[in-house]
Amino acid sequence: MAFHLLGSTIQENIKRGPSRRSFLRYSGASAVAGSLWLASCTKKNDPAVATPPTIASFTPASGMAGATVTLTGTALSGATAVLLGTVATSFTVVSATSITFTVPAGAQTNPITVATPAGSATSSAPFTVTAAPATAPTITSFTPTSALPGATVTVTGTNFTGATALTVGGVAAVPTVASATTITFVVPTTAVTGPLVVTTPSGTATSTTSFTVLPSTVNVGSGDAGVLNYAYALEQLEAAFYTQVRTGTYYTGSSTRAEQSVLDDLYYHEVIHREFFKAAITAAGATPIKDLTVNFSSINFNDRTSVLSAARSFEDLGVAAYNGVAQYITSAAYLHLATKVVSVEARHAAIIRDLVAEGTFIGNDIATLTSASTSAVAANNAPAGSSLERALSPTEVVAIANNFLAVGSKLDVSGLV
Amino acid sequence: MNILSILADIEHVDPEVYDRLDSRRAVFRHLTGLGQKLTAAALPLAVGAVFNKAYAQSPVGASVAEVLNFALRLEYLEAYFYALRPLPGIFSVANVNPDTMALIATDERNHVQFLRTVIGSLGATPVADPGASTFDFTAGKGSNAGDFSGYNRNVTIFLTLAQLFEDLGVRAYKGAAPLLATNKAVLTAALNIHSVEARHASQIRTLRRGLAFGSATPSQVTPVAPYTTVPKSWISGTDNGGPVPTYSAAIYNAGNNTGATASISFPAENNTVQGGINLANLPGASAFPASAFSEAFDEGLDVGTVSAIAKTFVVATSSFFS
Repeated sequence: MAFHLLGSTIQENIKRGPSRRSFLRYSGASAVAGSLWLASCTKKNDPAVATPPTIASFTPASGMAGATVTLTGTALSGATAVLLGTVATSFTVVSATSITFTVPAGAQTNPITVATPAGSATSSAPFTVTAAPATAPTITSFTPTSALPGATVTVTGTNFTGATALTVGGVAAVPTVASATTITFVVPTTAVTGPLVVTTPSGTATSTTSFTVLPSTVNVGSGDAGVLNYAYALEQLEAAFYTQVRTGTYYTGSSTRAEQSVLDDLYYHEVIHREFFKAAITAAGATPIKDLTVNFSSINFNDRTSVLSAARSFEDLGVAAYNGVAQYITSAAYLHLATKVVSVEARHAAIIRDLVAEGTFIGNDIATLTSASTSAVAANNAPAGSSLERALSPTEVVAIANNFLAVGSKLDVSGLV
Repeated sequence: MNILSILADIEHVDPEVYDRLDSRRAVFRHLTGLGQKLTAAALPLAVGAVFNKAYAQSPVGASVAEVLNFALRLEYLEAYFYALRPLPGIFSVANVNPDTMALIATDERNHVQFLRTVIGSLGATPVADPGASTFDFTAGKGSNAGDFSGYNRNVTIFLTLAQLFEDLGVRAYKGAAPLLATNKAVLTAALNIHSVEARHASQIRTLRRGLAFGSATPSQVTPVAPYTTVPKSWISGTDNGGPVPTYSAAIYNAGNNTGATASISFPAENNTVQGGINLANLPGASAFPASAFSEAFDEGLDVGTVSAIAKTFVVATSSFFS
């Protein structure tokens, strides 16, 4: 460095202190050592004396993410960082005594730290970060809008995260939260038709429309119309069975001509029975039950033994059902009709049993040949050696028939007896 | 006994039957309880005791008993017929299982015993055992040389008669059932016999199919129209009057509706209108063969017509089916 002083060139100076400079004076070819006392000199490029910041207070004392906090203190100018705990915030230096900052997302309740080049200060009290505002869930839709117990329903809406409960018509179900906008649940067996209610820690949502719980059973009703619907239900089962038999490879492939002939006739007869009872119920001014959904998963329609064994069960059951329900019919005409059908069912049963094993058209399993009956139908408690066919109560019959009916089509015969 | 007088009696249906019983359910409870305490052999008497409580000294009860006595007469006809069946050796030659014939014979004897017990317990008197000499199953009216001569030596003739008796029995129980409706326990018992008779009828028809082709597995023989010698196991139309129209046509034809319970009639077996509904017009059945509509329903027959047919097979001097 070189500068000129009083016509001399000061070749070099030596820093001695804040206000004293030592230098060599060059004059001509000689240099004179000396010193120059400078008063009131300041170094232009250095800041004023650096003071660490302090924090006096902040307001508000708590807030949620996104809130603006005003911090008051001293020596805040030049702040390089404002931290909430260890999380940096977006801040603005308003003045040497005031800074504002925004509560960052993800921040936790912690003291506030302000850093300046001169140092840092941390508040003695923590700033309390409050949770996001409580946003209650909403239900926008659900599908399906009606279902049987056991079915899975999907609910669409908002703010489902953390859902703790879901009720169907007031009956608790178990919610599975797939996302904040989707919940699934399985319709409980005890559920009743009504609105859906989803509960989260933030509140509850109630659907504007009701979810319809479809009945898991079909009630055949009471009185003569109930008996007719009971018969209609059993004929539906038989007709559906023989309809399906004719699609299996036992019927289409391996059955004998005689077996096909029998199965064809049984199919015709049972379909006629089914359609007859439906028409008769309507003609009587009553309402036929719905078309039942069968469940023949236990039957192998490609296997002769499986088909004929099931056919034997259905035919024997049909005879026992008519025998057992006749006593509940009040109309002589309907009673007469029932007897016209039951003997055809008995004829069916006899030939099917013979197809299973020759000579088994009747047996102790369905008649009191050599053993007494212990049926719930007391009148059927015939002694051994009376050769009376069994009669089964409607309750006994549906306990068997319901094994072949899907949920929603299982029969309820409580009105008959 | 005049069967027409029975018809007159049974027109009087007991309107107070339930008052005579504690209640329907109470009777069943009673029966169920008895069933647990008594031996099986004692049961018919126990059942009868309950009926007795309801119907003892009741003229209407006598009507129910009369209907049961009519059924008993038919059971005697069948029981004696099967008792006189061809020797087992003959059955074997004809590929008819003698065990099957023995089983049906036992059933009919059992029905006789059961009905006697029930009638007695109703406070009525079961008809006397007519004895084998009352019947002439050759239709010879006592000559034992009628058109069915040799029925007990010839399996073909025997099974022909057996089909007639079984089909007739099934129709008879159907016709009688509404007359028993006032007594639910008796009704149920009668229907439990009825379906056994229907199984017999089916089996006899199956055996006739097997016999027609000499098959040892009758169920594997396909029926052949017009079903007089190779019948279906169920009644198709009127089966052209049956195997021997001279004798059997009446069994498959219409009965006499005079005096029948209101709204009940006895059309021929080829009837295809049930409860005012034409079966051929039912949805889903339009493509079915016409025979299916008659086969799907059996028909009842009135007591008078059944008796007249049965009378063919008793000696001329007998009033058993008068």
